Amino acid sequence: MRVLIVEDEPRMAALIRQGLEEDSYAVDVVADGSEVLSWAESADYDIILLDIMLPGMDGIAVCRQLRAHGYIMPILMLTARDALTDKVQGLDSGADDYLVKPFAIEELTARLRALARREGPSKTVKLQVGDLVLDTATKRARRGSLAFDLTGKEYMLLETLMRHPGQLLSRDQIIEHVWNMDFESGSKLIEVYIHALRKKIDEGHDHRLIQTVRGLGYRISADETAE
Amino acid sequence: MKLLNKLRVQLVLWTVTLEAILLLVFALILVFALQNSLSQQIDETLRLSAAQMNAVVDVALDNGVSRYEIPAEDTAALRGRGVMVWILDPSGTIVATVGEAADIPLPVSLPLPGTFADTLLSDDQAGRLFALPLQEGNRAFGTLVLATSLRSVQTFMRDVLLSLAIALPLVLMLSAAGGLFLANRALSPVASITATVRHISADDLSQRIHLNTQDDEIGQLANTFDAMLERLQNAFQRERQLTSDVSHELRTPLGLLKTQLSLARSRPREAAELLQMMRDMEDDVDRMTRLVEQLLTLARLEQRGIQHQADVDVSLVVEAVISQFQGQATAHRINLTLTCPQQVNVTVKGETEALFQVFANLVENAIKYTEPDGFVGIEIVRLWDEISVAVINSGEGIAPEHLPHLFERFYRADSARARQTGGFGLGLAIANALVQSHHGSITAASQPGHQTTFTVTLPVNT
Repeated sequence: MRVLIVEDEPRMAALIRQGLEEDSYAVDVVADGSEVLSWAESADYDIILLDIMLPGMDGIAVCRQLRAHGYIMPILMLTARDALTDKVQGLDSGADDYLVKPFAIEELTARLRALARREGPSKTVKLQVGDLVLDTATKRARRGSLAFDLTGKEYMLLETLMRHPGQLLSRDQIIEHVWNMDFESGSKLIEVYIHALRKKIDEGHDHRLIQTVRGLGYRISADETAE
Repeated sequence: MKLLNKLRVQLVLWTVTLEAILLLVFALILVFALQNSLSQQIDETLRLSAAQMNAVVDVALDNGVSRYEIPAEDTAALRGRGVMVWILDPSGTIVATVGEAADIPLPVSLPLPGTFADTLLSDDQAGRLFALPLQEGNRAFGTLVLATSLRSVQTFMRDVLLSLAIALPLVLMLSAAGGLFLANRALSPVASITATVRHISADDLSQRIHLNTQDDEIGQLANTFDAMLERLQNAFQRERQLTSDVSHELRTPLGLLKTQLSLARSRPREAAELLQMMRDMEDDVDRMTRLVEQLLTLARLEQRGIQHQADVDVSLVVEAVISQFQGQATAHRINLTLTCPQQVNVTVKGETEALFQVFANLVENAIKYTEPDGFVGIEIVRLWDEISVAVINSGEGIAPEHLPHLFERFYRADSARARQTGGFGLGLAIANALVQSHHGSITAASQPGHQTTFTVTLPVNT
C-alpha cells in the first residue's frame, strides 16, 4: 500500500511516516497543498492522508481538486480542529474519512486498513487467494495450516498481489504500490522479493500461487490454468 | 410586559389624570360662578320689581280700611319678567296679587322685610322670595312679597351640567387618544432598540440598532448602544481569536506528544531509540511550558502591570542585552552595535527585568530576521522628556500590511518562517504590554528590502 502524507508540520509528518513505514506502507511526504496534484499524477497512491491546515492550499481545496481531476483513491483528512463544520466540509469535499488530532498511530493505521478494505471485495481484515490467507492487521500469512512471518517488503508485495487476485500486475504497477519515490525503478530488487515470497508460499505445494508472466509481470491466482 | 407597566400607558395615564383634575376644577368654578351670577341677577330683578311695585301700588283709605289698587298696565313688564307679587296688609292678609301669585298659595315662611329667601312655590318648583314693607312717607301700610320661579335657571344649570358631563369625558378621551398616539410615535424607536438588543448575545454581536435618522435623546441612546456593541464585538472577537490561537499552539505539541507516545509503544524498540523519542517529547513539553509561561506573563501584565518601580538606567539594560546576544549575532555573522549619547541621563522609572525583556525580545527578533553579514543597531536618543530606543536591523523588512498587527498576540507576518524559528508570535505582544506598563509606547517602521526599525519610547524620570 502506498500512502501520500500531506502535512506541513515537519515533525508530525516524520512521525506519521515512521509509524506507517513500520506498518509496511510505502510513504511519501509533501508539505505544500498546491503540490499534491503533481505528486498524485506521478505515482499511483492507494491512500492520501491530508491535513486540513496547509500552506499554499488548504486540505479541503486539495481534496476538491483531486476529485475534480478524477482521482478516486480513499482520502483521509487530518484535522487539528474538531469543529463540526471542518468534518462536514472535509467529507463533502470528497474525503472518505477524517481523524482528529491528536491521534494514536494505531488508530491511524486501523483507519487506513478500513479504507483499503472498503476499496476491495473483502470486508474483513483478511485477504484470501485459494488456501493462502493474509491478515492485514497482524501482517501474518498462512497457507493451509502452515503459518509464516513476512518481512515488511514481502508483506507489501504479497498484499499488493492479493488485492488484485487473478490479475496480471506489471513490475511498474507493483513498484508503484510497494516502494516510495526513493526507489529506483528498473531495479532487480522486485525479483529478489518475489523469489523470497515464492519460497515461503509455494515451496512444498503442488499448486503454485505466484505466477510469472515472462516480460509482462506477476499474478497471484488460485486457478492454475490461468497461466 | 403588563399593559400598565408600559411607559407610554403610564405617560398617558398621568397626563389624563392631571387633565381630569384641571377640567373638574374648571367646571366647578364655572358652575359656581354661573350659579352665583344667576342668583344675583334674580335677586336684582326681585329688588327692582319691588321698587317698581312700591311705586305703582296706590293705597287709598276708605273708612279706615286701606284699599290697594294696582293698575294692570303698570305690572305688565313685571309679569313679563316672571315675577309674582303678593300684597299683604299690615295684618298679613293677602289683599292683592300680581301674576301667578293668584294661583299659588303664599309660602308659609316669609323672609324678613328687605331680605331674600328660598322657597318651594309648588311641589316641583323652587322659587326665590323677597319681602319689602310697603311704605309711603313714614307710614307702613303693608308688605310686598315678591317671588320668581327658579325653574328656568335650574333648567339652564342642568343643561350646563349635562353639557359638561358629556364634554369633559369626551375631551379626556380625545386627549388620551392623542397622547397615546404621540407617545407611541415618540417611543416607537425604543421598541426597535428593545427588539434589537434582545437579539444580541455573546454569540452574535454583529447586530446594530442603526437609528441614524434621529438626533434626539433616543437617537443618541441608540448611537451610544451601537458604539458599545462595536467595542464589545471587537473585544469578544479578540478573545475568541486568542482562545483559538492558544488552543492551536497547544494542540500542535500535544498532537506530537500523543503520536510519539503511541508510536513508541506500538512495537518493541531498542533503548537508544526510545531515549531519542523521549528527548523529542521533552522538547515538545518544553515548548508548551514556554508558551504557557509567556501567556501567563501577558495575563499578569494585563491584570496588574509591573510591580517594582525603581530608577533604571536604560543604557545599562541595553548593554546587558547586547552582551547576552553578542555570541548569537557573531554566530550568524551579524554586526551588533550600540549608539548611546555620553553624559546624558537616560534613566526611567520602571522594572529592570521587564525592560531587559523588552529589549531582549526586540534584539532576538532582529537577529532572527537579519541575513548573515547584515547588521543590528541599537540607538538610544534622549529627547525633551522622553528616551527613545531604536532597534534597527537590515534585511528584507516587513510588508506594510503587517505593520499594524505586529504587536497582536500570535500574529506572525511569515508563518512558515516563524515555525522554523520556533516563535509563538508573542514576543512583540509581551514587549508592547511591558512598555505600556511603563507608560511608554512602541512602534514599528520598515523599508521593505532595506531595513526595519522598532522604536521604544519611555518617559524620562525627572
